[in-house]
Amino acid sequence: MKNTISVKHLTKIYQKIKAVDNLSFDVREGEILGLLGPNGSGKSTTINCILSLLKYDKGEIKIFDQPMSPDAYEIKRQIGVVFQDVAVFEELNVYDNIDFFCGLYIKDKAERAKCVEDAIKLVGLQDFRKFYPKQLSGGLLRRLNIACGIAHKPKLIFLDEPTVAVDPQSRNHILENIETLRKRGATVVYTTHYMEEAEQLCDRIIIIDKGKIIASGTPTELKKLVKNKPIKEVSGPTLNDVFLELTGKDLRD
Amino acid sequence: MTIYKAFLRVLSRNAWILIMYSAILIFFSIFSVQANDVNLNFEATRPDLYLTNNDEGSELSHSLVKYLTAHNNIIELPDENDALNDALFYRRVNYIITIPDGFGADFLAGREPTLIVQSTGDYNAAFAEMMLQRYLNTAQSYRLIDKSETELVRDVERTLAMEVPTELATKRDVSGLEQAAFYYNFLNYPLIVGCIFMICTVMLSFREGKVARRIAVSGTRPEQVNRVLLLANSLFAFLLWLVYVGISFLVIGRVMWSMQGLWFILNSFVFAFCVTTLALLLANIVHNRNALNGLTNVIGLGSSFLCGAFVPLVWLPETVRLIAHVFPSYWYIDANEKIKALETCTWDHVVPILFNMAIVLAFALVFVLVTNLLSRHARRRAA
Repeated sequence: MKNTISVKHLTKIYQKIKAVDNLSFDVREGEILGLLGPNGSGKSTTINCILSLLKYDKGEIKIFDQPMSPDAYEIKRQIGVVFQDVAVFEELNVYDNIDFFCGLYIKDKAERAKCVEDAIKLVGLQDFRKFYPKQLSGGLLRRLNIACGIAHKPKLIFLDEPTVAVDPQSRNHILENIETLRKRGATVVYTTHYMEEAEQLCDRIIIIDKGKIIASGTPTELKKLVKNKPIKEVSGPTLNDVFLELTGKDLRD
Repeated sequence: MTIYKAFLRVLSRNAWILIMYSAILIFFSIFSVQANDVNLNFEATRPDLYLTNNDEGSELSHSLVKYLTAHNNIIELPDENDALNDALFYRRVNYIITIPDGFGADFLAGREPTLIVQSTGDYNAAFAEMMLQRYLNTAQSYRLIDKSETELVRDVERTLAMEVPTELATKRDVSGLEQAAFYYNFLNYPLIVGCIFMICTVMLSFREGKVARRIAVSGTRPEQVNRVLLLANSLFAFLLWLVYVGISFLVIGRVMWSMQGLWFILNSFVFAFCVTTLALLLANIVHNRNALNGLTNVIGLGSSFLCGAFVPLVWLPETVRLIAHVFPSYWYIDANEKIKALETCTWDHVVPILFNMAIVLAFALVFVLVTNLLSRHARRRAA
């Protein structure tokens, strides 16, 4: 299977502190890769480096077998990003917001209109086209945020904690959307703090702490790492147990 | 097109502020036009006059009374000294004339008879006296050539009844230029507020951290987005200026087609350009919508008050005028005042106006340079 992303020896130093320390991993075509880690572990820095939003000190990043750089617009056109914070225009309604961000990738009006409609249907905002962001609930805003990131039908999608602060119904809806995107052939890099989400959604998981990969594998493989420890005697360890076992129980910033 | 469309949407969502400031401009301009509308059909003041004619038998005295009655308000009072003095004191009358017995005969005989007059000494009294002197001087002129009292009275009345068409010596429409200067001086305020508020609001929306990040990872070059935004903002400022110039033609009218009108337009164009560069500079500095509201008002109102957009520059204290020199508005408004006084379009007359425009352009150049420095610094910091 081809690699969509290939990261080799990625290192990013912030004022003598290694935020990302010699990180190497691949993301295979069509898979959902979960990037897990406590706060300040280097997940966002890694993603920002991959997206060329940050300059890195060492390493090599390739996307679709092409070196990624700030000027790699051909590659960028095939990437969709859903940031953790809702990033939309307050002055534009739902349709216009999606249309604007989609328009940054697709110039053809008719093609764009179809993509916008598809995105609206995918996230279930059909009844809210004319609504302004201020008129939307938290869950609907998150769905709008996703639609803005994926309307241009990218081959590679970065989802940075898209389900933060939403109710279970909206979360379920968002997870179904991500499944649908994968079925359409997209590769997804997904970061979250919700272990059950990662377990349910991800084909492979990478756990990062202090800028280093401390574990990687399928959810089943990761659970095996703590299988012999007396964490859950009756039902076996959950991914949450694995996470805490590997990253420790100390509070992070 | 996508960026233009979003630009227009953001603009239209904030259009209320433009409408509000434009309405203020139109309201005050119409008010100014009404206030400065010089009616060239003058109507003479009619002083309040008390008149006693003790020379009933004289045609000349009778004619004088007729003339004064026609041009003054004749007030009825008791013919008592106290009552007359009270009336003067309380300004019930401005002027009292008593024609003595034998006045007509003495006048015709060239004996220079004396009229008894009392006056409040105010401008109405002066006007009444002027009318009296006018009649007597005219009569004196005819006395030397006319043979009889009847002929003299006829000639005096004919002369005093004459009307001649009057033309103003200057070709400048002083009233119209006052209105135009008021309009273009006041324009300083809506132009600054409109441009700064709208351009900064749009730029804030596009440069808002999360949205900017999303644009940065997109398939469109940020330089392209910035170029489109710069063009759209410039186009907006140009259209705003065009609308305000259009309004000036509607409100002020004919004077805008004159040579001075064209100078007003040119001067405001240069100023609009300067304000646009200032707005683009502020868009790089202001990152908060609340701060933007405050800043817009401070710059808009502050420069308008200090530089004479609301109150004529000559009324402002020397210190304030000195401080005002650091604002482009001062040079713009000062140029408007010079245009108002412009008689002919010779090189010597227009040099001071061009000098002011050059200073406004120099301000614009400084704003562009500082904006470039800030943008470079921001790009380096982001990298």
